[in-house]
Amino acid sequence: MISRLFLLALLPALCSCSIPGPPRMAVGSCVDLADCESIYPQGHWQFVHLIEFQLPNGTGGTVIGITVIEGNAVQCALTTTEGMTLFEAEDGDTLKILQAVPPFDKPGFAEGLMADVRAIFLQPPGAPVCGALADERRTCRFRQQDGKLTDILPEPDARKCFRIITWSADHRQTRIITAKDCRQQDGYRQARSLTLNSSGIKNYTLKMSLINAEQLSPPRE
Amino acid sequence: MRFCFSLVLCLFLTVAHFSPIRQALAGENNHTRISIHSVQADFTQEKHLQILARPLISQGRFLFKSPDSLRWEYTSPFHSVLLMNKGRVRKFIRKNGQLIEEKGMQLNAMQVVMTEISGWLDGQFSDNAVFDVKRDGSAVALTPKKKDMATIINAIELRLADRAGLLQSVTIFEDPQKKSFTRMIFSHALVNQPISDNLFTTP
Repeated sequence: MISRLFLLALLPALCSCSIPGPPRMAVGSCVDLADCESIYPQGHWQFVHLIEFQLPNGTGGTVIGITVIEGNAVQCALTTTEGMTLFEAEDGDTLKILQAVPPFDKPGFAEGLMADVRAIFLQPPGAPVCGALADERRTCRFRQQDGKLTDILPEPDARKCFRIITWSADHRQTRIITAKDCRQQDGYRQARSLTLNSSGIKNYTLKMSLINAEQLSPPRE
Repeated sequence: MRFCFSLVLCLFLTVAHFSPIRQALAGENNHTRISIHSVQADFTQEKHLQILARPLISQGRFLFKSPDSLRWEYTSPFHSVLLMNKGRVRKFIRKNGQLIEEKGMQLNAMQVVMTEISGWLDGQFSDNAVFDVKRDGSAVALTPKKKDMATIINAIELRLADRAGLLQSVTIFEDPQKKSFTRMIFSHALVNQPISDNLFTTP
């Protein structure tokens, strides 16, 4: 009986130890900051992606994702590949759902989608800490006021792609975004292919293929 | 995702009206009935949304063969094909250079679509179980009868071309404010030309 109680008492500690958390980073100077910042579009942009999604139960499908960003404001829509609107919302100071048909009207869906969109397209607020991981990969780490972390890892490949890894305030990995087939355009490192792997209970995968990217207006000086 | 697929089918239900309406409207205009066995046409599709600064433009071609075969193919900006043949619906999307079938289409909903098509082929261009129909000159307005359908499609507007019996465009309004809509503009229509059955079974 005592041994069982001992094991029960130990369980939370074991669980917390099993969460790897963000990797340690040897802090250095932010010489690579421009590389990190270049993965985010500046100004007013409209993106159209073909999105292949896969849910944990094995189901999935393909939709069109439309994202419009300007400053901190995000607007996004999902349509069928034939063009019927499934979801449309805008998120500036507050989240406003313009259209949502089942199952895209479920509680939390809009918030989750917007969080993914922001993770992909908007630079986290604040100044990052820069450095290198144990495997010498250069990293820019943004720590938000609520304790969430975003690591940006510019890839040293010829096409200069990148990875974004986000962490919750309790150090659980929430998503990995992997960019492939990148090209440099006016200082912006645009990815033709993005894969978002969401961790946790709702671990889903989004494979996004760029159909069109258009800068509607340049950033305000 | 089931509802998502039913949305797709609703769209096709709407567009599938194209060929039968041709027959029916030709009948109304000219007091002669054109017997339509097949229709094929190119289309340009504009998607308008409240959030969009510019509409999304898609292009493709559709083929219809009486009584129940439809091929709806987008060629730009990405390649996808929806095939309907003898009650079977299949959808393919090009990924990594190959047309891959999307699984999970709700096949039984197709029966609803086919029922509609059959109705139009019989020349029944009038109110039916799904839509109220009103005609004003070259414009035909379809309004869903059922509330659940109206949440997906608020109204449909057909524009007739100058040539009797030809459709110029179909516009599907999704919201009462008419801020979100899809417009399909047809061109190069061919009627009653032979179409290989293979095109309705193979992407």
